[in-house]
Amino acid sequence: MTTPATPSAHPHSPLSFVEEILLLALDDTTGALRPMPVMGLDYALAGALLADLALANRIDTDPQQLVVLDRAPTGDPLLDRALGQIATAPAPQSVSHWLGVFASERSTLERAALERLVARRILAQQEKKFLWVFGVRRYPTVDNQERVEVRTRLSALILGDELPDPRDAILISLLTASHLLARIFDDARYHARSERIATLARMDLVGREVAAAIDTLARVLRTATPVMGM
Amino acid sequence: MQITPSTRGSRTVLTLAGKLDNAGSEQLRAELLPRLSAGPASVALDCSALDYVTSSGFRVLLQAEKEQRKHGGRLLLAGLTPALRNLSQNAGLHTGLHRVPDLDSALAAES
Repeated sequence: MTTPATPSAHPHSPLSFVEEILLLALDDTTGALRPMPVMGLDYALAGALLADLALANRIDTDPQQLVVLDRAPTGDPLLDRALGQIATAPAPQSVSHWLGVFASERSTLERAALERLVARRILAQQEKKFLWVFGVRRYPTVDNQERVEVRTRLSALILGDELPDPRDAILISLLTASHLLARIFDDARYHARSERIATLARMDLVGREVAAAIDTLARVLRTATPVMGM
Repeated sequence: MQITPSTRGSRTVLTLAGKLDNAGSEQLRAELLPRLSAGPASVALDCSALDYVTSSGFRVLLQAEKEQRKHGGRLLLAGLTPALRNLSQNAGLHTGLHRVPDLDSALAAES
């Protein structure tokens, strides 16, 4: 008998960037999403997807374009679908183009990441009836070890002077771009390290493009929305 | 990418020519990482004929610098073209990587 293919990653493999970003975007106690700028999570998850493909040696990037290095499947259905999309594009496109494409698939990325985190027994799924009609899903934390570990590592990196390894450079970059870093590390010790954080956040090109996309959108919204009330 | 090793004092100089892209990064990683454990100032990269670096190229440079610091030294990056200097600056690596304009004078200053 063959084992059916499941969309979940191996329970003991390291978390993908998509999973890691979503996990850090959820509040430890309430299981709800932390506040983020408009499209913040959409672009951060899209950036995480590209970062996963880059570290799997499937794509490479420069300021002009994103190129496919290898079309061989990674075994991760989420990555392989994205890789297929990129590989079949008629011409190479920029990182920001692909961020736009995958940001529009936020609900797919978010749902897949939540399912995997539940399968890994890091999160639990809880249905709550709201007004007896709408089911509201919450994802309370079952095992907080992963979050604690990554926060401890990133904290040491921010407060120290070591160079980051590529994974941590990408994480800091994506978390800074989506304004999550300031929510996770919100005290005077980190505020005093804003220059260090800005330097670390620039070390990954995909993260820089994610920041540019989110900031541009915020600027457009500021100028386009009439000031209401007050 | 072409990598040509030579010896200058205590340092191995790797002269890089062409593109430090994904394939180049793999080559450089294989040539560079084993040499970093030789001492605190074991390798210098002559980048004057290097014309392009992708994200995976910068990741290898960052990883190599991190490794060299573990042995108490710095990697020396010499002769980056203005375009690549700019690119590394944008990547926040101007403080992380030890960039020198000219290999000869940097090596002379060390000895």
